[in-house]
Amino acid sequence: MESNTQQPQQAPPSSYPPGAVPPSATAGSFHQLLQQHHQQLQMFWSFQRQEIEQANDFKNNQLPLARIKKIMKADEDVRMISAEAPVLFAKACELFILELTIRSWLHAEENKRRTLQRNDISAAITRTDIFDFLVDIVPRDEARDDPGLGLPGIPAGIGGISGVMGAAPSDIPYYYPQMGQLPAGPGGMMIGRPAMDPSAVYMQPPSQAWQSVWQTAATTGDDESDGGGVGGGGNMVGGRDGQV
Amino acid sequence: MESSQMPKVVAEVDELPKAIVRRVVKEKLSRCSDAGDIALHKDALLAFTESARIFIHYLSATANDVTKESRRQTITADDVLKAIQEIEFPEFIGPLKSSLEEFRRKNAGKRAEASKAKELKKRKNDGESSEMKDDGKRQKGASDNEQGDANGDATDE
Repeated sequence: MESNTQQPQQAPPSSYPPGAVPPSATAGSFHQLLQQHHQQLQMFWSFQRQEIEQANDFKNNQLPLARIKKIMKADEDVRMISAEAPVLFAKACELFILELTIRSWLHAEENKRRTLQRNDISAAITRTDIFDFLVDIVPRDEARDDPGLGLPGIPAGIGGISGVMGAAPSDIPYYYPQMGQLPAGPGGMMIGRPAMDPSAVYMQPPSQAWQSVWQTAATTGDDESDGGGVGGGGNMVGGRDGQV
Repeated sequence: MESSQMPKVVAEVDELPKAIVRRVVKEKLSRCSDAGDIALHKDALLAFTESARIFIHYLSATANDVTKESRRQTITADDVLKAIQEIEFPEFIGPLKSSLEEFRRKNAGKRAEASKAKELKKRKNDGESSEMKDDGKRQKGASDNEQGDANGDATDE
Protein backbone atom coordinates (compact mmCIF):
# COMPACT_ATOMS: atom_id res chain seq x y z
CA MET A 1 0.00 0.00 0.00
CA GLU A 2 1.44 3.33 -0.98
CA SER A 3 2.23 5.68 1.78
CA ASN A 4 0.34 8.96 1.73
CA THR A 5 2.36 10.65 4.36
CA GLN A 6 5.27 13.05 3.97
CA GLN A 7 7.36 11.47 6.69
CA PRO A 8 7.43 7.75 6.42
CA GLN A 9 7.30 6.53 9.97
CA GLN A 10 7.37 2.81 10.36
CA ALA A 11 7.32 2.70 14.16
CA PRO A 12 5.62 -0.49 15.37
CA PRO A 13 2.17 0.10 16.93
CA SER A 14 3.16 -1.23 20.33
CA SER A 15 5.50 1.65 20.90
CA TYR A 16 2.73 4.15 20.41
CA PRO A 17 1.02 5.41 23.56
CA PRO A 18 -2.64 4.35 23.31
CA GLY A 19 -4.11 7.79 23.07
CA ALA A 20 -1.62 9.41 20.80
CA VAL A 21 -2.25 9.28 17.09
CA PRO A 22 0.35 11.39 15.34
CA PRO A 23 -1.09 13.06 12.30
CA SER A 24 1.68 11.65 10.26
CA ALA A 25 0.98 7.99 11.17
CA THR A 26 0.89 5.53 8.37
CA ALA A 27 -2.40 4.02 7.32
CA GLY A 28 -1.20 0.64 8.57
CA SER A 29 -0.51 1.58 12.19
CA PHE A 30 -3.59 3.77 12.35
CA HIS A 31 -5.66 0.83 11.25
CA GLN A 32 -4.11 -1.26 13.98
CA LEU A 33 -4.96 1.38 16.50
CA LEU A 34 -8.55 1.38 15.35
CA GLN A 35 -8.63 -2.35 15.79
CA GLN A 36 -7.28 -1.99 19.29
CA HIS A 37 -10.00 0.49 20.12
CA HIS A 38 -12.60 -1.77 18.59
CA GLN A 39 -11.41 -4.66 20.71
CA GLN A 40 -11.42 -2.56 23.82
CA LEU A 41 -14.94 -1.42 23.06
CA GLN A 42 -16.06 -4.98 22.55
CA MET A 43 -14.56 -6.01 25.85
CA PHE A 44 -16.19 -3.08 27.52
CA TRP A 45 -19.63 -3.90 26.18
CA SER A 46 -19.47 -7.59 26.94
CA PHE A 47 -18.45 -6.73 30.48
CA GLN A 48 -21.36 -4.31 30.70
CA ARG A 49 -23.73 -6.97 29.47
CA GLN A 50 -22.48 -9.35 32.13
CA GLU A 51 -22.97 -6.71 34.77
CA ILE A 52 -26.47 -6.06 33.57
CA GLU A 53 -27.39 -9.72 33.57
CA GLN A 54 -26.03 -10.21 37.05
CA ALA A 55 -27.49 -7.10 38.55
CA ASN A 56 -30.87 -7.90 40.01
CA ASP A 57 -31.01 -4.60 41.79
CA PHE A 58 -31.93 -2.78 38.65
CA LYS A 59 -33.38 0.63 39.16
CA ASN A 60 -35.85 -0.10 36.39
CA ASN A 61 -37.18 -3.09 38.27
CA GLN A 62 -37.51 -1.30 41.54
CA LEU A 63 -41.10 -1.09 42.58
CA PRO A 64 -42.04 2.46 43.55
CA LEU A 65 -41.54 2.97 47.28
CA ALA A 66 -44.38 5.46 47.61
CA ARG A 67 -46.85 3.03 46.10
CA ILE A 68 -45.64 0.25 48.36
CA LYS A 69 -46.07 2.48 51.36
CA LYS A 70 -49.62 3.29 50.25
CA ILE A 71 -50.43 -0.38 49.93
CA MET A 72 -49.01 -1.08 53.37
CA LYS A 73 -51.05 1.72 54.88
CA ALA A 74 -54.26 0.34 53.42
CA ASP A 75 -54.09 -1.88 56.47
CA GLU A 76 -55.30 0.33 59.28
CA ASP A 77 -53.31 -1.56 61.84
CA VAL A 78 -50.12 -0.46 60.19
CA ARG A 79 -49.15 2.91 61.57
CA MET A 80 -45.56 4.06 61.40
CA ILE A 81 -43.08 2.73 58.91
CA SER A 82 -39.37 3.44 59.00
CA ALA A 83 -37.75 4.77 55.84
CA GLU A 84 -35.91 1.51 55.34
CA ALA A 85 -38.93 -0.74 55.46
CA PRO A 86 -40.38 0.04 52.01
CA VAL A 87 -36.96 -0.65 50.53
CA LEU A 88 -37.09 -4.17 51.93
CA PHE A 89 -40.66 -4.57 50.84
CA ALA A 90 -39.80 -3.61 47.28
CA LYS A 91 -37.03 -6.18 47.16
CA ALA A 92 -39.09 -8.86 48.87
CA CYS A 93 -41.92 -8.25 46.44
CA GLU A 94 -39.61 -8.63 43.50
CA LEU A 95 -38.20 -11.88 44.90
CA PHE A 96 -41.70 -13.13 45.55
CA ILE A 97 -42.76 -12.40 41.97
CA LEU A 98 -39.69 -14.29 40.75
CA GLU A 99 -40.59 -17.33 42.86
CA LEU A 100 -44.15 -17.29 41.65
CA THR A 101 -42.97 -16.92 38.07
CA ILE A 102 -40.69 -19.95 38.18
CA ARG A 103 -43.29 -22.18 39.71
CA SER A 104 -45.98 -21.02 37.33
CA TRP A 105 -43.70 -21.56 34.40
CA LEU A 106 -43.05 -25.14 35.54
CA HIS A 107 -46.74 -25.81 35.32
CA ALA A 108 -46.96 -24.33 31.82
CA GLU A 109 -44.02 -26.49 30.78
CA GLU A 110 -45.72 -29.61 32.12
CA ASN A 111 -48.68 -28.80 29.95
CA LYS A 112 -46.46 -28.08 26.98
CA ARG A 113 -47.57 -24.50 26.66
CA ARG A 114 -45.47 -21.50 25.72
CA THR A 115 -47.89 -19.02 27.17
CA LEU A 116 -48.14 -18.47 30.90
CA GLN A 117 -51.80 -18.48 31.91
CA ARG A 118 -53.70 -17.63 35.04
CA ASN A 119 -54.26 -21.29 35.87
CA ASP A 120 -50.49 -21.81 35.92
CA ILE A 121 -50.33 -19.33 38.74
CA SER A 122 -53.23 -21.01 40.50
CA ALA A 123 -51.41 -24.31 40.24
CA ALA A 124 -48.23 -22.82 41.66
CA ILE A 125 -50.19 -21.40 44.58
CA THR A 126 -51.94 -24.70 45.22
CA ARG A 127 -48.72 -26.68 45.13
CA THR A 128 -46.63 -24.43 47.34
CA ASP A 129 -47.37 -24.34 51.04
CA ILE A 130 -45.86 -20.95 51.61
CA PHE A 131 -48.23 -19.52 49.00
CA ASP A 132 -51.27 -20.61 50.96
CA PHE A 133 -52.06 -17.02 51.81
CA LEU A 134 -52.97 -16.55 48.15
CA VAL A 135 -55.40 -19.39 47.89
CA ASP A 136 -58.50 -17.22 47.61
CA ILE A 137 -56.91 -14.59 45.41
CA VAL A 138 -56.33 -16.72 42.34
CA PRO A 139 -58.89 -19.45 42.78
CA ARG A 140 -58.40 -22.81 41.29
CA ASP A 141 -60.73 -23.59 38.41
CA GLU A 142 -62.95 -26.63 38.54
CA ALA A 143 -61.52 -27.90 35.27
CA ARG A 144 -58.14 -29.09 36.43
CA ASP A 145 -55.58 -30.45 34.09
CA ASP A 146 -53.87 -32.59 36.70
CA PRO A 147 -56.47 -34.63 38.54
CA GLY A 148 -53.86 -36.75 40.24
CA LEU A 149 -53.06 -34.01 42.71
CA GLY A 150 -55.83 -34.62 45.14
CA LEU A 151 -56.55 -32.11 47.84
CA PRO A 152 -53.28 -30.63 49.00
CA GLY A 153 -54.48 -29.56 52.37
CA ILE A 154 -57.10 -28.12 54.58
CA PRO A 155 -57.49 -24.71 52.91
CA ALA A 156 -58.40 -26.12 49.52
CA GLY A 157 -60.77 -28.55 51.12
CA ILE A 158 -62.64 -25.92 53.02
CA GLY A 159 -62.82 -23.71 50.00
CA GLY A 160 -64.06 -26.38 47.71
CA ILE A 161 -66.67 -28.22 49.72
CA SER A 162 -69.44 -26.06 51.02
CA GLY A 163 -71.62 -27.41 53.80
CA VAL A 164 -73.45 -30.51 52.73
CA MET A 165 -75.90 -31.49 55.40
CA GLY A 166 -77.35 -34.84 56.14
CA ALA A 167 -77.12 -37.41 53.41
CA ALA A 168 -73.41 -37.56 52.90
CA PRO A 169 -72.50 -39.60 49.87
CA SER A 170 -70.48 -42.59 50.87
CA ASP A 171 -67.41 -41.46 49.06
CA ILE A 172 -67.23 -38.19 51.00
CA PRO A 173 -66.78 -39.28 54.58
CA TYR A 174 -65.60 -35.86 55.74
CA TYR A 175 -67.99 -33.03 56.10
CA TYR A 176 -66.68 -29.54 56.29
CA PRO A 177 -69.10 -27.17 57.92
CA GLN A 178 -69.71 -23.95 56.06
CA MET A 179 -67.04 -21.66 57.37
CA GLY A 180 -68.29 -18.57 55.63
CA GLN A 181 -65.81 -16.22 54.04
CA LEU A 182 -62.38 -17.30 55.08
CA PRO A 183 -60.08 -14.33 55.13
CA ALA A 184 -57.08 -14.97 53.00
CA GLY A 185 -55.47 -11.78 54.10
CA PRO A 186 -53.53 -10.99 57.21
CA GLY A 187 -56.21 -12.10 59.59
CA GLY A 188 -56.51 -15.51 58.05
CA MET A 189 -53.01 -16.74 58.52
CA MET A 190 -54.12 -19.64 60.64
CA ILE A 191 -55.58 -21.31 57.59
CA GLY A 192 -52.37 -21.46 55.68
CA ARG A 193 -50.50 -23.57 58.16
CA PRO A 194 -50.54 -27.26 57.35
CA ALA A 195 -49.51 -27.90 60.92
CA MET A 196 -52.62 -26.22 62.19
CA ASP A 197 -54.54 -28.30 64.62
CA PRO A 198 -57.89 -28.85 62.98
CA SER A 199 -59.39 -30.23 66.12
CA ALA A 200 -60.45 -26.67 66.79
CA VAL A 201 -62.67 -27.00 63.76
CA TYR A 202 -64.05 -30.43 64.35
CA MET A 203 -64.51 -30.51 68.07
CA GLN A 204 -67.35 -28.02 68.04
CA PRO A 205 -69.87 -29.38 65.59
CA PRO A 206 -72.42 -26.74 64.73
CA SER A 207 -75.37 -29.09 64.93
CA GLN A 208 -76.60 -32.54 65.80
CA ALA A 209 -76.91 -33.47 62.16
CA TRP A 210 -73.25 -32.72 61.79
CA GLN A 211 -72.47 -35.10 64.61
CA SER A 212 -74.48 -37.88 63.10
CA VAL A 213 -72.59 -37.49 59.85
CA TRP A 214 -69.39 -38.07 61.77
CA GLN A 215 -70.82 -41.14 63.49
CA THR A 216 -71.78 -42.57 60.13
CA ALA A 217 -68.38 -41.87 58.73
CA ALA A 218 -66.74 -43.49 61.73
CA THR A 219 -68.65 -46.71 61.37
CA THR A 220 -68.28 -47.08 57.65
CA GLY A 221 -64.52 -46.87 57.95
CA ASP A 222 -64.55 -45.59 54.44
CA ASP A 223 -61.86 -43.02 54.67
CA GLU A 224 -59.42 -43.58 51.87
CA SER A 225 -60.96 -41.47 49.19
CA ASP A 226 -58.86 -38.38 49.75
CA GLY A 227 -55.20 -37.97 50.23
CA GLY A 228 -53.26 -35.23 51.83
CA GLY A 229 -54.51 -33.05 54.55
CA VAL A 230 -58.02 -34.33 54.46
CA GLY A 231 -57.02 -37.76 55.68
CA GLY A 232 -54.89 -36.18 58.33
CA GLY A 233 -57.73 -34.04 59.51
CA GLY A 234 -59.99 -36.99 59.93
CA ASN A 235 -57.53 -38.78 62.10
CA MET A 236 -57.24 -35.89 64.44
CA VAL A 237 -60.90 -36.03 65.30
CA GLY A 238 -60.40 -39.49 66.67
CA GLY A 239 -63.24 -40.92 64.69
CA ARG A 240 -60.92 -43.55 63.35
CA ASP A 241 -58.62 -44.50 66.13
CA GLY A 242 -60.31 -43.45 69.26
CA GLN A 243 -63.79 -44.68 68.37
CA VAL A 244 -65.65 -41.70 69.78
CA MET B 1 -87.08 3.31 47.15
CA GLU B 2 -85.07 1.62 44.46
CA SER B 3 -81.39 2.24 44.71
CA SER B 4 -80.87 1.93 40.98
CA GLN B 5 -80.23 5.65 40.76
CA MET B 6 -77.54 5.63 43.40
CA PRO B 7 -73.99 5.59 42.10
CA LYS B 8 -71.97 2.63 43.25
CA VAL B 9 -69.01 3.55 45.36
CA VAL B 10 -66.17 1.14 44.93
CA ALA B 11 -63.18 1.48 47.17
CA GLU B 12 -60.10 2.22 45.13
CA VAL B 13 -57.31 -0.20 45.58
CA ASP B 14 -53.72 0.83 45.04
CA GLU B 15 -52.04 -1.64 42.75
CA LEU B 16 -48.42 -2.13 41.83
CA PRO B 17 -47.50 -0.73 38.42
CA LYS B 18 -48.21 -3.41 35.83
CA ALA B 19 -45.32 -2.41 33.60
CA ILE B 20 -42.77 -3.11 36.30
CA VAL B 21 -44.37 -6.36 37.37
CA ARG B 22 -44.46 -7.38 33.73
CA ARG B 23 -40.78 -6.61 33.32
CA VAL B 24 -39.82 -8.69 36.35
CA VAL B 25 -41.84 -11.65 35.11
CA LYS B 26 -40.71 -11.44 31.50
CA GLU B 27 -37.05 -11.19 32.42
CA LYS B 28 -37.32 -14.24 34.59
CA LEU B 29 -39.21 -16.17 31.93
CA SER B 30 -36.57 -15.36 29.35
CA ARG B 31 -34.01 -16.92 31.69
CA CYS B 32 -36.19 -19.98 32.35
CA SER B 33 -36.50 -21.11 28.79
CA ASP B 34 -33.66 -21.39 26.35
CA ALA B 35 -35.92 -22.13 23.44
CA GLY B 36 -37.51 -18.81 22.65
CA ASP B 37 -39.95 -16.51 24.36
CA ILE B 38 -42.63 -17.46 26.80
CA ALA B 39 -45.71 -15.30 26.35
CA LEU B 40 -47.58 -13.84 29.26
CA HIS B 41 -51.35 -13.83 29.15
CA LYS B 42 -53.04 -10.63 30.27
CA ASP B 43 -54.95 -12.42 33.03
CA ALA B 44 -51.76 -13.97 34.25
CA LEU B 45 -50.16 -10.54 34.60
CA LEU B 46 -53.12 -9.41 36.69
CA ALA B 47 -52.74 -12.48 38.86
CA PHE B 48 -49.08 -11.63 39.45
CA THR B 49 -49.88 -8.03 40.29
CA GLU B 50 -52.67 -9.01 42.68
CA SER B 51 -50.60 -11.69 44.33
CA ALA B 52 -47.73 -9.29 44.90
CA ARG B 53 -50.07 -6.81 46.52
CA ILE B 54 -51.48 -9.44 48.85
CA PHE B 55 -47.94 -10.48 49.64
CA ILE B 56 -47.27 -6.92 50.78
CA HIS B 57 -50.32 -7.04 53.04
CA TYR B 58 -49.30 -10.41 54.42
CA LEU B 59 -45.76 -9.28 55.12
CA SER B 60 -46.84 -5.92 56.60
CA ALA B 61 -49.28 -7.52 58.95
CA THR B 62 -46.68 -9.99 60.13
CA ALA B 63 -44.03 -7.29 60.50
CA ASN B 64 -46.53 -5.12 62.31
CA ASP B 65 -47.11 -7.91 64.79
CA VAL B 66 -43.39 -8.19 65.39
CA THR B 67 -43.26 -4.45 66.05
CA LYS B 68 -46.21 -4.49 68.42
CA GLU B 69 -44.79 -7.45 70.33
CA SER B 70 -41.71 -5.39 71.02
CA ARG B 71 -43.93 -2.55 72.25
CA ARG B 72 -42.76 -0.24 69.52
CA GLN B 73 -44.65 1.94 67.08
CA THR B 74 -42.49 1.99 63.99
CA ILE B 75 -41.87 -0.97 61.72
CA THR B 76 -38.13 -1.26 61.29
CA ALA B 77 -35.98 -3.13 58.80
CA ASP B 78 -35.26 -5.75 61.44
CA ASP B 79 -38.94 -6.26 62.03
CA VAL B 80 -39.39 -6.92 58.34
CA LEU B 81 -36.53 -9.42 58.30
CA LYS B 82 -38.01 -11.25 61.28
CA ALA B 83 -41.37 -11.30 59.53
CA ILE B 84 -39.79 -12.81 56.42
CA GLN B 85 -38.57 -15.67 58.60
CA GLU B 86 -41.98 -16.10 60.10
CA ILE B 87 -43.76 -16.36 56.78
CA GLU B 88 -41.17 -18.92 55.76
CA PHE B 89 -39.24 -17.18 53.01
CA PRO B 90 -35.78 -17.55 54.56
CA GLU B 91 -34.06 -17.59 51.17
CA PHE B 92 -35.00 -13.92 50.78
CA ILE B 93 -32.99 -12.82 53.79
CA GLY B 94 -29.59 -12.73 52.07
CA PRO B 95 -30.64 -10.54 49.12
CA LEU B 96 -32.75 -8.37 51.43
CA LYS B 97 -29.79 -7.66 53.65
CA SER B 98 -27.72 -6.71 50.60
CA SER B 99 -30.40 -4.30 49.45
CA LEU B 100 -30.56 -2.81 52.90
CA GLU B 101 -26.82 -2.30 53.08
CA GLU B 102 -26.78 -0.67 49.69
CA PHE B 103 -29.60 1.63 50.67
CA ARG B 104 -27.82 2.61 53.88
CA ARG B 105 -24.60 3.29 52.01
CA LYS B 106 -26.32 5.48 49.46
CA ASN B 107 -28.14 7.32 52.18
CA ALA B 108 -25.03 7.88 54.25
CA GLY B 109 -23.34 9.27 51.18
CA LYS B 110 -26.27 11.53 50.45
CA ARG B 111 -26.52 12.77 54.00
CA ALA B 112 -22.82 13.49 54.23
CA GLU B 113 -23.03 15.42 50.99
CA ALA B 114 -26.12 17.26 52.10
CA SER B 115 -24.61 18.37 55.38
CA LYS B 116 -21.37 19.36 53.67
CA ALA B 117 -23.33 21.41 51.19
CA LYS B 118 -25.23 23.05 54.01
CA GLU B 119 -22.05 23.93 55.82
CA LEU B 120 -20.45 25.35 52.71
CA LYS B 121 -23.55 27.40 52.04
CA LYS B 122 -23.63 28.73 55.55
CA ARG B 123 -19.99 29.62 55.52
CA LYS B 124 -20.43 31.31 52.21
CA ASN B 125 -23.38 33.31 53.50
CA ASP B 126 -21.50 34.32 56.57
CA GLY B 127 -18.54 35.31 54.47
CA GLU B 128 -20.74 37.52 52.33
CA SER B 129 -22.24 39.24 55.31
CA SER B 130 -18.63 39.72 56.38
CA GLU B 131 -19.43 39.59 60.05
CA MET B 132 -17.20 36.87 61.40
CA LYS B 133 -13.81 36.06 60.12
CA ASP B 134 -13.36 33.31 62.64
CA ASP B 135 -13.95 30.19 60.59
CA GLY B 136 -13.21 27.74 63.36
CA LYS B 137 -15.95 29.03 65.59
CA ARG B 138 -18.41 29.27 62.75
CA GLN B 139 -18.02 25.62 61.89
CA LYS B 140 -19.00 24.45 65.33
CA GLY B 141 -21.77 26.98 65.53
CA ALA B 142 -23.21 25.78 62.25
CA SER B 143 -23.67 22.20 63.33
CA ASP B 144 -25.18 23.21 66.63
CA ASN B 145 -27.67 25.52 65.06
CA GLU B 146 -28.91 23.09 62.48
CA GLN B 147 -31.90 21.02 63.33
CA GLY B 148 -33.24 17.94 61.71
CA ASP B 149 -31.79 14.61 60.90
CA ALA B 150 -29.09 15.43 58.44
CA ASN B 151 -26.51 16.77 60.82
CA GLY B 152 -27.56 14.50 63.62
CA ASP B 153 -26.82 11.50 61.48
CA ALA B 154 -23.70 13.02 60.06
CA THR B 155 -22.22 13.24 63.50
CA ASP B 156 -22.98 9.59 64.00
CA GLU B 157 -20.70 8.66 61.14
